[in-house]
Amino acid sequence: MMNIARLILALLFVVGSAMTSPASAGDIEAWQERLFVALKRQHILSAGLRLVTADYVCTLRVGAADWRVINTVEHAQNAEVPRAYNQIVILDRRLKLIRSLPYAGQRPLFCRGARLFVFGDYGIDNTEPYGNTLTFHRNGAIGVSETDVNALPIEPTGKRRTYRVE
Amino acid sequence: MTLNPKWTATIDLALKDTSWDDHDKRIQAEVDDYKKRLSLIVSDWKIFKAQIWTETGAESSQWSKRPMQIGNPTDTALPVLKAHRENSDLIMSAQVMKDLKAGKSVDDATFNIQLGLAYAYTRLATFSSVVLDPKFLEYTVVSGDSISNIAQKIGTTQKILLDLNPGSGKMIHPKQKLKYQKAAIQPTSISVTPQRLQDFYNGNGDPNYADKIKYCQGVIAKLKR
Repeated sequence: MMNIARLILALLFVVGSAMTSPASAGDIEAWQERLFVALKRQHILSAGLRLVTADYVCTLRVGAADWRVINTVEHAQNAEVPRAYNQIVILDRRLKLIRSLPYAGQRPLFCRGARLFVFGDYGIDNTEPYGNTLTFHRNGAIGVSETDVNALPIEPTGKRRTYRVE
Repeated sequence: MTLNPKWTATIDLALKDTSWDDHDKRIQAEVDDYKKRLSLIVSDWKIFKAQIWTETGAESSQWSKRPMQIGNPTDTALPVLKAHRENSDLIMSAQVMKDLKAGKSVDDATFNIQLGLAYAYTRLATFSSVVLDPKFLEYTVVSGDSISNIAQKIGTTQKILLDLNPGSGKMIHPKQKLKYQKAAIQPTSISVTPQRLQDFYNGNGDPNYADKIKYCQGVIAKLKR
């Protein structure tokens, strides 16, 4: 009886660890490679520009779907001054493009459910409403609203959840 | 951040070399045109003189052709203007749009400056829905409609539709009645500062962009000619 209890405890520990621990470095690298391929294949990255970075930011939960938020920064380096082209890229679970949102001085920060919080005021197609909170809907519509920076739903750093990339 | 001494030394050459003023009249003419067309613009033309020095400068081989570096092979600004994206069609003059459509060379310095300013003002502007007629109207949704195509079809904006029809951002269905007013997107403010040029024009590609513009502004202030 004691052994069964120990086994259950051990199993719970393993399952719990798997759910909360980050993926291994190898997993992350493999996933990042898949990401680059997906971005290139769908022409999300611009031909001729140089890719500075394509980072996973967070996962949106839109209805029952998980959408990945990717931050891309590219440079046009053949100008005398490098000019950057930045995008918030939304991909579905299979890394298929859902939406690309060019941005300038803003940047994506974190997700909570179907909401993506950004640094700075963002307007879709540079049109009002402007705000730091983008709410995604299944039909592709995006609502923009403002959240007071002091009221951002941020978890204490020590409790920050980690996500597995798969 | 400290600016590269070689770069600042190059900019300092402007103190003795009048060719750094070559584009002054072009910039002034363009800024004046924007001030006439868009009453929102209050910026001093010299901030763009400083920006053009930052983008190229009289020592650059590009100075007499592409002073604003618009139209380089991988430049992302020209496609935005050509496709009228980001509301650039609400900023550009009719002449610039006509020249773009006709395929005018981006190696014409005047045109390059016109395009550079068009892109700068487009990126620095904020755009809002402006109600053109206060009368409330009604539209009946048909199959295949989306909020964006309805707005275009009936001469209003997505914001007006969403404001007057709460919940329509999430779901609309055929035969649903939507209230609306005739409205259009218009630029409502344009603020030009070195930091905003770094953020919105340069996209933070060069982290020293704003400091470079400020340095150029300092040198321009010292010019005695």
